[in-house]
Amino acid sequence: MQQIDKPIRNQTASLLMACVFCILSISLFEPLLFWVLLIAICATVMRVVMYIGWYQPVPSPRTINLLGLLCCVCLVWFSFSIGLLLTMVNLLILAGALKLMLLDSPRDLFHLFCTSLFVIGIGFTFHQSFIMTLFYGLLTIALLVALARYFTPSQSLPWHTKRILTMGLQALPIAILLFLIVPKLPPLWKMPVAKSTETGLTDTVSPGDIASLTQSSELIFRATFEGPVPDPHERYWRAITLEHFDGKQWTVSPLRKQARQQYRLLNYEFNPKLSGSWWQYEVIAQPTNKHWLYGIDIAVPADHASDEMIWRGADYQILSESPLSTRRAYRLRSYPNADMSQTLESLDQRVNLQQPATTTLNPLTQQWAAEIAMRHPTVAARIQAVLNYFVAKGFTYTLTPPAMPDQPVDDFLFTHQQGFCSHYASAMAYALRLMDIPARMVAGYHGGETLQPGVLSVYQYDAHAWIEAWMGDRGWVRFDPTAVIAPQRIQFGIQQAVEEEAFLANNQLARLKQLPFLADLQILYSLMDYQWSRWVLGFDAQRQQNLLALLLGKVTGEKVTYLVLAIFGLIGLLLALYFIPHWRKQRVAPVQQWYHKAVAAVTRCTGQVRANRGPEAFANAVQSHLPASASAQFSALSEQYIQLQYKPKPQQHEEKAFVRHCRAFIRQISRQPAA
Amino acid sequence: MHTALSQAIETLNQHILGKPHQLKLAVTCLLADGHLLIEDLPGMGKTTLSHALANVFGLGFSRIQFTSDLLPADMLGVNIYNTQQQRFEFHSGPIFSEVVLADEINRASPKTQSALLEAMEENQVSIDGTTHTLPTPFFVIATQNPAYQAGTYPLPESQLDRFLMRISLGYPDTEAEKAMLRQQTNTETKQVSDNKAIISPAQLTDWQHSVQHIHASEPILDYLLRLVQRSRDHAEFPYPLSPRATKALLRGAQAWAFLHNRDFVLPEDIQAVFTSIAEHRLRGSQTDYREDGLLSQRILDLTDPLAA
Repeated sequence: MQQIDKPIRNQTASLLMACVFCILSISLFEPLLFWVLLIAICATVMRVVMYIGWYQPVPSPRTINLLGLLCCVCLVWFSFSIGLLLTMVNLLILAGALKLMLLDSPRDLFHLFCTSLFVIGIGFTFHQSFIMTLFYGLLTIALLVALARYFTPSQSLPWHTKRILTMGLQALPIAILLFLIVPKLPPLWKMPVAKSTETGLTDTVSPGDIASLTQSSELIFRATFEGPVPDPHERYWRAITLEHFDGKQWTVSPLRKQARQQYRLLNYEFNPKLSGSWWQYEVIAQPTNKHWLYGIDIAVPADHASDEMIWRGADYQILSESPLSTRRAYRLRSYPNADMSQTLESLDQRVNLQQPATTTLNPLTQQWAAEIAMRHPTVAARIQAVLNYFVAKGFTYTLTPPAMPDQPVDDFLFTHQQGFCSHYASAMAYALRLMDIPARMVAGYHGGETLQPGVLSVYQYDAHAWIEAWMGDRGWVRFDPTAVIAPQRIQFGIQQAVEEEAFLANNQLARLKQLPFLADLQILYSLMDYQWSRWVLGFDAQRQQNLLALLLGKVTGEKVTYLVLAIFGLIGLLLALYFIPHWRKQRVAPVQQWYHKAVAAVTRCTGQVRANRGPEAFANAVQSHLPASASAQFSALSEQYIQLQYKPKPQQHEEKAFVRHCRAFIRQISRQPAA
Repeated sequence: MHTALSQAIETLNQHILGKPHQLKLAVTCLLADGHLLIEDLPGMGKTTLSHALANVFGLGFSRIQFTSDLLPADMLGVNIYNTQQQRFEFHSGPIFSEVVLADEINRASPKTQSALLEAMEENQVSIDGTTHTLPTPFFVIATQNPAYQAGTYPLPESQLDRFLMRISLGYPDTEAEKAMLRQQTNTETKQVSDNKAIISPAQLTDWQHSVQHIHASEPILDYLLRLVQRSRDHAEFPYPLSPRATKALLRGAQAWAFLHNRDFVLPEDIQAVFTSIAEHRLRGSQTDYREDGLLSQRILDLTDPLAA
């Protein structure tokens, strides 16, 4: 039968679905091309207009096909610059938007529903924070409500919402159980790594760069310490070691890269001897699409899974085997007091005495360094002299130093005498190299906000740069000129250091933090996000094993089987709890049950199906088909049934008699050959 | 069956030949104290049926021919100034009658339509602040042409709901039509159709009371509610059944059971009256029957009366 109903375009179901689709597309803002997003929004506006009734006709499939063809051509053009994954995402949204324009039959509605669910899945590859999970959860519920509304349009929206929420809540424990026990298999298909805009530290650091990073309050990673937490001034989170200086910028040394590649080919990992006390911690790093990881030097992986993913370089840098395209967790152990002289000294010396090829850059610095070198024979004295120079000349710490484009080090040291951590690090490392002391710049993060005892959050604005100098037997020693100029930066963090400069002047979050209530809220959110990434996103095969071990003691195949069976039993029990009350309500009374049996027997004998007929009508219909005795018996049975079911005040013992008669009738009729 | 009632139906059958089921439905509607809407093409015997009903039940009859310029006052009555007695006198309109035939109701303007429907619902008429009670029993038989005919104002859904039943007589079969023609030529048989009242109005009112006391057991109510619920839970039914429709269904089934001389309702009773009570409510103002069949029949097909 053809369905007669309100046209789809006037149903709230279609409107709701259009809105959800639009919000979904907007939530994918970054990966989407601008014009694709525009088409999605246009489609939604079309739906709203149709719903209100300003303009009714649905565009013809020919129009949409033409538009689709044009869009595909455009997309192919753009695909060269955005990569496969993003092209596919854009294609899906595009297809969804065009379908939305064409939406006119239930089939279209179901297509759009499935597409939207898939888009939500895609959303998780781009956003994994707790708040986005909640957001996508809400969108899923809205989608389900829209679908429910389509099927029962006469019910109210709150009724649907309540129903969907109830079912969602019922499904939740089952989902959690399955999440815990379903084996975490490695993915069959790997996401192509997205090309995305890069923020944060880069391979190349020029002195001005880090200052711009401090304008961002983006989370970089969280570290959870097991045991003691380092003091604020010890929290030097190393990310990249920069060993090549061209007079203006520091980059990773090409020689170092070459060496690293060779080591990798030989599978020779840097494996220093470790001694002294250590801190053990887990880091959950946000995606950067870079290889480097964060750790306090010298950091080594603390468990097998982390060891698998981490490559240790001879410059104390730790690298991930694959770029960080999603949140990743790893566990480290750091030895702050270990011997730092275990690297290949000759290579380190050669790389770290490199000087810019053009000697015309920064002539004053060269002269100044030569003077110091003449006055002080020892390495330690020379380093001290440089630091003393910073203090004596009244250098200041500022996020907004004047531009120094031509002779960056000269201008900094002798003209402006103010700058940011990377200015100091750059100038000092260069000066030391000029004095024949191997020195290099280290970029990373310093500090971290305590989220709860033992947990530190490190944000983009904690970006920092310091230097390392080679001091003979002691090996690499860390020096932080910023600590000399602005000790509060190291002790209390950047906010304290530059308070008067209106830190994060255009950063909303920082301004909001000044209200105590909002600050609390922000901390609460950070906590939730932390727990979410730690326990849900971080629940990998390793943690699953740990959980099993915790539950079962020693993990054996037999025990696991029992556990899995038990959990499936539990799920079955839950389902039974949900459905049995419903079934009980529908349970058939014995009278009815036996009447149905009798009817089935009659159907077997005569081939007459009851097909929603009432008892009287059926009795009349089959009368002529049944053998005479059975016919009379069945008529009497029907009569009794009517008596019991429809007449006022049926008696209890009559019910029993009826059941007895039914039994007798069925026995008798089954003995007779079919007519 | 009550002898008087069976006699009445017998007589009606002599007037309208070959339509026993529709006649029974019409009587059921009268017993259930509801109003009847007959939808058919011109000349199918709508007027004859209402005439015969009024005659057989001994009720006063008046007919209002609805036209596009008919005003509410033409139907309800007016206050006219009596110069001798120096006061207004109420001159009641044709609606003050026990059986009112509202012929071609969908030709009148919505204003007049709603005046009639108001009177049907309230059983009274208010003119210039005075309330005039309509006689009891009050039974409106409205006829309407199918909506696709020219010059019609289709009744809105809210007003269709006021009619307990909508029936359609349809063409008679050849046999019945032949009998009809013979009746016309044969003066002897015409004597039979000279009507006298078989049932008194008091008797009718009495029966209307008894209908209300017909027993409807728990399984019957469940079946009724399942039918109604199905119309609400599925997108294919654009206008789900209202609680008023539920009440109407029960009353109709009770009356049908009464007509069959039973003091309890069977599922068959509901099935018999379901289409004529539910179809016009399910369709709304789309009065044309599509080829895809009756919506009410679809509900019946999907619902088992014996399921728990």
